[in-house]
Amino acid sequence: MVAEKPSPKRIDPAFKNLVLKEEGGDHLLRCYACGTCSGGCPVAELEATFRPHEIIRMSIFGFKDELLSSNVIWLCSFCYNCYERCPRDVKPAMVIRALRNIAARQGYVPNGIKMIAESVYKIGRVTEITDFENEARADLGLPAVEPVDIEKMKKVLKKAGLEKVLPKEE
Amino acid sequence: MALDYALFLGCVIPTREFGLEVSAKKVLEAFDVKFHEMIGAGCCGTAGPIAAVDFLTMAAIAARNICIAEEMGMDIITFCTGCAGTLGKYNKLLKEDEHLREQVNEILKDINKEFKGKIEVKHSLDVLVNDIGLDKIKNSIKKKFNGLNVAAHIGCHAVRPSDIRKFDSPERPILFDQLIELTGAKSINFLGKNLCCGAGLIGVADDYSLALVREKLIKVKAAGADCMCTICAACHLQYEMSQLSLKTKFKEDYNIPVLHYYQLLGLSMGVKPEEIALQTVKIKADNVLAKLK
Repeated sequence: MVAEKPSPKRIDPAFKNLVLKEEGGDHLLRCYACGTCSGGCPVAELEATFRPHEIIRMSIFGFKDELLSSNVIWLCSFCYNCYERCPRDVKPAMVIRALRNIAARQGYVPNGIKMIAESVYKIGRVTEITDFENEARADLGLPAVEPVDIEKMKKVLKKAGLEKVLPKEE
Repeated sequence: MALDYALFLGCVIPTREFGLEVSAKKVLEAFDVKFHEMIGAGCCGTAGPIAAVDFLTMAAIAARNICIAEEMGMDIITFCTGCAGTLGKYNKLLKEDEHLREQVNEILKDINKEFKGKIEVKHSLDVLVNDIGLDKIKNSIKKKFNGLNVAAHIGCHAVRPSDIRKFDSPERPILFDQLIELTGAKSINFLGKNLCCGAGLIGVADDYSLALVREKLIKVKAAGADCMCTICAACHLQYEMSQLSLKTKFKEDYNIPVLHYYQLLGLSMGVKPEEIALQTVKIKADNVLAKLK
């Protein structure tokens, strides 16, 4: 297959600086593309388009839009095999996390993650605790779960900036 | 001497994995661990989803939880591997990184909290191995499993990233197998034993999540396991729920019971099955009970 030649517009050479500044992306430029990360990646074994070393290369070259809008950055399961094995301590999983953070600020968040983020924002937890859960707990002799101090939690979330990535509400 | 800990339950365990909460409390209390509730605690910062969208938010809500334990003057214990990873990571980062600490404390100021860096975050595995110790656990065993083949799945985040989770070898962990074998069971070898179960992709890329766990189940079955044993709530959820969905979606029946480690240990300590909520496992574990002598 002949690869489509990327038009100059799609390349942003400054993109790497954005990644380098992001938490987890600071070792980006150490990568010498050996592919150890992809070789030990359980997701790469299932999915030919998912290759952590390629994601890193694309970040360095500046394939910004292609990366941020792609679902590949959401396929990492964070098993940290690459993190342990990388001979250059690039921490590929953390680079992918940095890319997710950048993508999220630009509005690219998968629905599943958006739902969890919204849940944390509204109830302070990932999973809701209803009477159903508390009854099941009581049957097993467990105490009811204390509700989260949601007003204080919301204050923290607002100030920290989670709102930036949530849909507008209320 | 009692071991006092601030108990961080997290989200998944108190709402989905009751069996883990019941059995962990029962077993650890037998070793004089005392749990103290963390009033007002919320989401740990969820390693996956929140981290995925905003780093600073994650650091701030992790710090808020750690502050609650600091005010209690106790180290945190958690049964949830994800929470241990998240809280452990931010506890370390916030202690070391002055700039991040200032940023986070500026956020926490509004709710009258300040991260001081006075406590440690421990996984219940750390407590089992380092605070209680294998010898003491060994002495508490009253009944032994005979001829029980267990496929152990410790879960990635119990050992990785190893610069934060300093528990065991990040790629060839053996402590969990040793803990299992204290009960007389055999921790068997199987292909891809230390690979990811796919739980990290639940809700994000469900097909891939199911494909990952299916690979594991095939290999566990092929190795002749009588049951699986997990210590992580997410892995446990993944192995049980995916077996149910593989059965309905693809007519594949693996029928491998998945026990929490505390259930296996509890049985071996002579605790009654209902006291460790063995009835809550979704794939019946009668074959496991039958091998307890």
